[in-house]
Amino acid sequence: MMNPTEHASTAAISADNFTLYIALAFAALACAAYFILGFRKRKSGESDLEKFARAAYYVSFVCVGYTSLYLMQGILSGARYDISYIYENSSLKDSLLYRISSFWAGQGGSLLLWALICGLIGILLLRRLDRASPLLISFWCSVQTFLLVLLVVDDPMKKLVGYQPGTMGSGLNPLLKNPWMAIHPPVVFIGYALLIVPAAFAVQALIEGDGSRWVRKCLPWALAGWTALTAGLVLGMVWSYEVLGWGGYWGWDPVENASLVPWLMSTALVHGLVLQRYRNRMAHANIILAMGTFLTILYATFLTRSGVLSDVSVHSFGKTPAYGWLIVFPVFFAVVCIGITMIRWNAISRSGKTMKADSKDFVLATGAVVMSLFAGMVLVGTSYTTFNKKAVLDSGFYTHMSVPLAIAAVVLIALAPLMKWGGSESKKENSPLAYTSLGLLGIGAAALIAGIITMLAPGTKHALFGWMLPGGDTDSRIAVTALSALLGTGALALVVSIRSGAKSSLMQSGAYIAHAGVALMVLGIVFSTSGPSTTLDLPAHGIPASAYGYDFIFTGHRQPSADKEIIDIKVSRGASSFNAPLLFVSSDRGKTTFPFIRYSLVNDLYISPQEVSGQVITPTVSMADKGWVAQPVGVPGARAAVALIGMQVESHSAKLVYQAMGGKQIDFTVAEGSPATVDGYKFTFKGFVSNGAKNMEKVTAGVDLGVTGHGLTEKAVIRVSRKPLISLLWLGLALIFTGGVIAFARRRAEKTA
Amino acid sequence: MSKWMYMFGAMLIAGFAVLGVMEMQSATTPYVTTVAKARALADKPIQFKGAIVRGKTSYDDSSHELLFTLRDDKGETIRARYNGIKPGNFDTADVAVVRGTYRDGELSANQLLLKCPSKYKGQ
Repeated sequence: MMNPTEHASTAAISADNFTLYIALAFAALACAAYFILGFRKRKSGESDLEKFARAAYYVSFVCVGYTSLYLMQGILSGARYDISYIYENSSLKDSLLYRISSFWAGQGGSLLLWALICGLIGILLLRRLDRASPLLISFWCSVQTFLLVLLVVDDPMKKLVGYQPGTMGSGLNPLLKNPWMAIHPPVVFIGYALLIVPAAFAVQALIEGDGSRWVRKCLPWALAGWTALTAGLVLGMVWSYEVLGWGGYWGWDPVENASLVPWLMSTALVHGLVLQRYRNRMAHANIILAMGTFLTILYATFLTRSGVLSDVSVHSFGKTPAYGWLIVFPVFFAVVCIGITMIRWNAISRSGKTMKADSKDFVLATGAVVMSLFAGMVLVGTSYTTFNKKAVLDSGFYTHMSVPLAIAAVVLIALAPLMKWGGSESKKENSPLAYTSLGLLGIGAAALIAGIITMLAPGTKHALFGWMLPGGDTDSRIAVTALSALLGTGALALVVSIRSGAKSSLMQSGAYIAHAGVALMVLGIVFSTSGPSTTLDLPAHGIPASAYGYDFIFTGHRQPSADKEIIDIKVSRGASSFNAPLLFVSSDRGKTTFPFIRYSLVNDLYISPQEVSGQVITPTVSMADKGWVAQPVGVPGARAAVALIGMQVESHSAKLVYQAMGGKQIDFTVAEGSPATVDGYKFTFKGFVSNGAKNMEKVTAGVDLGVTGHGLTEKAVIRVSRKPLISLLWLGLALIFTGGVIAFARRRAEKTA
Repeated sequence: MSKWMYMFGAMLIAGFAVLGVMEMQSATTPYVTTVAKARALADKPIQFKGAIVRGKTSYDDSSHELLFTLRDDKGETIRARYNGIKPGNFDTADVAVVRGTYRDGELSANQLLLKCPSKYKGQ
């Protein structure tokens, strides 16, 4: 598990990282001091221990802040490529924004950023609560202590092995050079850090036997964290759509799911807290939800940082020396949280009254249950993918399972504004609502039962869903049924939310705005996933290919710099046309492609480059009796041949010789991103090939060369998709965020009122 | 709230859990590393991992059809067909993971993942 030599090389104190050790020591001291204070009687004056505890926290924070500035200074100055983290993630060639964001582009730096944000939020907590709630602060310091342990073990200041003066940094991964991605990690960490606060409140509440007083204080923290995490996830989605080029915004990748689970848990939590604040209900459930949010954040940290996902996820970090600690961390807190909850379970009083089925109370509680089920579903699927080495789980699992949950959520959103707290007083007034809600629940149950029957007995599929689509396969009929149910309930929820929002004051409109956003998001997802896509072959300089009413013409291939290639596609529709430049960037990490998106309110046009191909020749060398022997290859349509004379595997370049019939012999070199022009032909490096023989005497190796010029042309292959009404999704997400901001402002104002 | 409402809710949740288990079974694709196992699971979706055999690859540029050979753990080889664009790093990859089905002695892939040698990374 832990490589001893790696461990030794990372755990050394140096002039660069000693402040992290001081920060760790003082965070642990602050944690212990506040713990002792938690069990002491409060006095009127400030005790020495209180002064010490606070000072220890500030010393720890100053050290984390200093280390962060030190790392940032090393990155910006470009003088510290002897530090391996700076060497791997930053370069003076990058723009200022991407040099700044390289701070959190890797494992150690992003952990340092998280510790810095936690430290700042801890100061906010300290200024408000340290005298009243020392146990809460102690819990907070224990989290900070663990983050610092991880930082000391997986040290961002580790020296680069084999550093030579003059070494330059490799620069930021081209995929991360996007303004959305530059700010995504800090926003997610702000969300995570704020969502740890409710767990600290819950621990304090359990120990003090505080039933509901903590809820008012906790609600603004939970809403701020939820809103920040919402923004963080949305930034990741926008980045995925704009940069990754597969045409989607959510791939159900384990790393994405890992951050979705705490978001869903905290969504359940904020609804539960609102219910407890008004009706004194869900007191026990909220303790569990607060701790669940915290523990799933730790679990997400383990999944993304331990390297367990490096085989199944495209976003995961690699192996880390902190592997063991990443297990200790969640297990320790799970034991603490579950232990305190079990011991102090009866210290929290129950509200004795039963809930009426036609009350707002019931709708909110059901909403929290639905969000928890959603979280549980994603958690189970993600864990299964991670730990099952014998099989993979298709993303179909998540999309299928999300449909009934999304329908339930949207129906509840439509119902909630129609209900009153505690249910309706008069029998007459309440009965239509009760019937409506029961009717909708009935529909949900019927749909679920129908779904189960269709799966158990495939023969019944037709009987149940045959009316939806005559012909076509049954799976698509089920999909159509489910999606039309989503569209219908989504539209209903949208109308109800807008009506209720319009009637309320701005401060009270947060939930309605967020709920209208959820409805729009659901509509946007259903519409945009119905958009078609196709692959087009585009011959160079010539014949257009058509799709969805547009003509696409491959007009040229440019190379603005050594590492960048652009293929230009002229897209026209009727009289209007525009150029769609498709970018390829080469780096040490290989070739990265970027899509081109023509945004529109109604229907995005999404163009993703697949490849540029043409004539490829493969000159090779083989091992023979007396060394390497080259096999020259003829250039298509010419009286000339090319032979391979040297390969530089590390730098992705090859030395070749061009031999024309009649004597002319020219040496040339091609490398990735830098083609060579010889005798009117352009040769492009495509990659090395080998027969993979283990026996040296049988090895054949060669290089794939693209050839153009003298009538030899390239062709481009592109993937074109439509994304109808995807704008509704982005608008919906913006409204969810806005609703969160308003709800936060309202609960913050109420906290002291 | 009456007892039967709780029962109703519990039944819905239980139904959801049953649905989850069934969905999970149908969405799970087993990993296969031997041709013998692939043969045993003929016509079912599998994920096959094998080493790419050099010099046995052909690619039709106009129909985007990639034909290649994979060698399993035990040295047995199998022909694979992928209808799609040949990935740029195919020629430098050592190992391919193919998602698809085994049929008539051939793997027909609808998804192709490549594992490249990590020799280009710094030590």
